[in-house]
Amino acid sequence: MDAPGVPQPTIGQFCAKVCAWVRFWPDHDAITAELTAHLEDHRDVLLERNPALSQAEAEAQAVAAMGDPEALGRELDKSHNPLPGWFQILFRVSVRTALILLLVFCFLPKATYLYDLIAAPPLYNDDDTGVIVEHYDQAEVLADYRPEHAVCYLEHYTFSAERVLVTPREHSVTGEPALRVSVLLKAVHLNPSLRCPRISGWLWAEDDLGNRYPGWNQYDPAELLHGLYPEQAAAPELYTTMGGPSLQTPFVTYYDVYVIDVDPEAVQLTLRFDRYGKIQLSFPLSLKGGGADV
Amino acid sequence: MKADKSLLSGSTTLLVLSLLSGGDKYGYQMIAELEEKSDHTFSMKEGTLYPILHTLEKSGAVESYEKEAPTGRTRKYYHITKKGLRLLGEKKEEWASFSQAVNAVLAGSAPAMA
Repeated sequence: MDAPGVPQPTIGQFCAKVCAWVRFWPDHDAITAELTAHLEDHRDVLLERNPALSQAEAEAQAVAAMGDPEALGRELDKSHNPLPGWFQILFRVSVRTALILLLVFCFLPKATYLYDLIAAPPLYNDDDTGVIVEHYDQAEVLADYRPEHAVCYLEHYTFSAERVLVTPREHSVTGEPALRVSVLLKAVHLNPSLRCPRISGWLWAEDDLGNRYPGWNQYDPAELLHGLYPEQAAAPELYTTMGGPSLQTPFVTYYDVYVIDVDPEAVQLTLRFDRYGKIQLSFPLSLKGGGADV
Repeated sequence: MKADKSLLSGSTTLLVLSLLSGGDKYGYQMIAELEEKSDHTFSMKEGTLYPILHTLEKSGAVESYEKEAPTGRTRKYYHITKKGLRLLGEKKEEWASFSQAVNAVLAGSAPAMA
């Protein structure tokens, strides 16, 4: 025990004295917490055994029971050697940094790509109008516009023509110069299970000169009928309205629809859907640009 | 009777490992148990325990984890590992042969003391 009159250090002072001898300071907090817990436990037991003791007296007795803080600190310093301690910290930091860098370099480009895909998804199919859009600067564009009031309502859907792109088509089936007319169609619906209505094969077009541009679903039955009854059924016209869905989201579907071999003399083209008899969708589109009359 | 400090110092590791082989414990709990089991024979400076525990932890003989004690305070508990149990076995053997040797010497010199 210390000589009478020399006050015992408090729990905090005792821990500070111990830690003063431990060179590896990152461990000071853990040592202080453990010794404080011990001293508090002992103090409480002493107070319980002898209620006459004051809090300070019990604390002083608990601190005295611990022994010399310097001796304790020196012993703890041996098992808290700074060299391996710092090496361990350096190793941990290096591993974490390496992992973070690896994640950044490996996944950031993919994450950026995904973000771009979500923020600005491609609206055209790569092997359809996507090629023209991608090489827009090199393409000869005769008209490129967003038609006004090109909106049709059909059951649960709101269809709209979002963009019309007219380009020349030099190598047409007939060998004559012709136009290629691309129409970006948009279908909006509130029910995700109704996404992607199957209209594309049934879309067909007619220009202001009376030329018809059938869709492939019109061609197939005509070809079948002509095969069965060559005398009664006329030979089918080649289908020239093509394309299909290019982007599907729960509430919006886009279609990359295009008509090839359009008569270059025509000034207006009407895209139609009339699978069930009467005309259900009709988009009159100007081939010279600007808004179209609806 | 209080034990001589020098007698105690060599066997503290054995005592600590032996206490931990009975279950996970925190520092003060071990001191209290040691005093109780030895009928206050072993009343060492309580601080001595921690360098031993920390050295054992560093060598992999014990592991520590934090948990709330029955008193409601968070305590650092120590758990003996397989390596620690092997070390305990070795220390026990050492102690047995040591005490046997001491007893043999004492027995041989007993008549002279009488």
